[in-house]
Amino acid sequence: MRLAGGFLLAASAVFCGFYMSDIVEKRCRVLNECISLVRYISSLIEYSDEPIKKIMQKAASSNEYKMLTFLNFTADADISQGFEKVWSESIDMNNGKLLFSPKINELLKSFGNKLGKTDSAGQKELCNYYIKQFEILFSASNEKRKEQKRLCRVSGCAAALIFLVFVI
Amino acid sequence: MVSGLYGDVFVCENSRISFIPDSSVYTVTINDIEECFHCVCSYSVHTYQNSIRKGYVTLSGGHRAGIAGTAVCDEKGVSSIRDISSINIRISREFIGCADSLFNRIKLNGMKSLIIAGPPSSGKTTVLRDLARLIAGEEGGFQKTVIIDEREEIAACSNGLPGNDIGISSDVLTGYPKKESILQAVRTMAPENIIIDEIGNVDEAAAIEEGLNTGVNFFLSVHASQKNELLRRPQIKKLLNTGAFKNIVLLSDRKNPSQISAVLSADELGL
Repeated sequence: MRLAGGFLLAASAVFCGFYMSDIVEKRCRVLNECISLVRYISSLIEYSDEPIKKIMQKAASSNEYKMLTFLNFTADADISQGFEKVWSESIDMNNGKLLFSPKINELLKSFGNKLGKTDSAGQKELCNYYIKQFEILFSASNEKRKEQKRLCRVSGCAAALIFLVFVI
Repeated sequence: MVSGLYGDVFVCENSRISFIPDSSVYTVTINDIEECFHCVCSYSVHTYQNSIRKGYVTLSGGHRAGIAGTAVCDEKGVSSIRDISSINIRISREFIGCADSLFNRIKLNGMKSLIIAGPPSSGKTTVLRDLARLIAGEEGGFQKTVIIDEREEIAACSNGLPGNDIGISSDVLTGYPKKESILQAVRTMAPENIIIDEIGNVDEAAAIEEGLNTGVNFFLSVHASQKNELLRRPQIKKLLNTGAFKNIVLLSDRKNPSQISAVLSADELGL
């Protein structure tokens, strides 16, 4: 019984560690995709003045934004009722909500609310601002990822030690 | 307010219409105007920034929304419009057959360049569109025609495809400034005819003159409701002085759209 309990305790500790680090890892990837998306939007606006609907369709058909599934909803939606509403609802429908921290959610929504409301110069400035904001979140997440990798290693060793103690 | 051939009507709060602006008439709010503005821009103001500077947005289907507000100016001129106070939406209509008689007249005269003049809402663009359909279609022997559609009202192109019937052998230059596009069309598209809507200044007339010297026929429209107004416009004088435009077709008023009220000869105008 003691053995089984110890084994379960160690296994759950390792599992939790890996699960947490996996979330942080994925969150980093989400943020990376967000930065890339805003850069893509900025370039389409700057060089071809593409309308928002077309930009969304192009982004949704790209393989680069696999984790940003909300783009598919935005691309398919009828924006005549208002792009802000469509964008906000699409973000809420995104798969893997756990990866979208409240901060990422908030940032994405406020970016969508301002998209398409000014001329190209204004949109470029807007995109630059949000790229910086996402980069700040990304570097914070990246730090957390590194920390958790270290923690994972330590907790794995500790779990193994506990298990060994119980066996002895 | 909705204006049409039947006069002006007002929309009431219960969605009915009224012929008098009484208390039941819906008063548009600033938020309504703002929402309407973003909607006509397809929530992409940056896409329409050049036309917004000129005070309009062309909607899909060739309809036009005129924008009134406060101009934001820089050293180059109007850079944007803020505090939008009203939007005037003009519904474009394709009227197939409205240029039949005009086309027969042009054919009889041996396909010569022509100016179509008329007051606002007299159907100048509608006539030009139908003329394009005839000239570049079977009736005109599929003549190679370039349509310079700066405001996207003639062909009403969406994703590069024309929304209106403009004839099989038409090429459309959408959104180009007229002056540059005339020269580009002449140099690169080898046209027999060029169709342009609303010639506005002497620079455009000079570009047309250059095009005329290459043997291209021009069919263009100008704002003018009377003979006197035509003579007061320097770009018309410049064009008539080239000798290429023998006739000017004067359209009727907004109550009789696309109807020819007179055909004036250049000699008659004393030029």
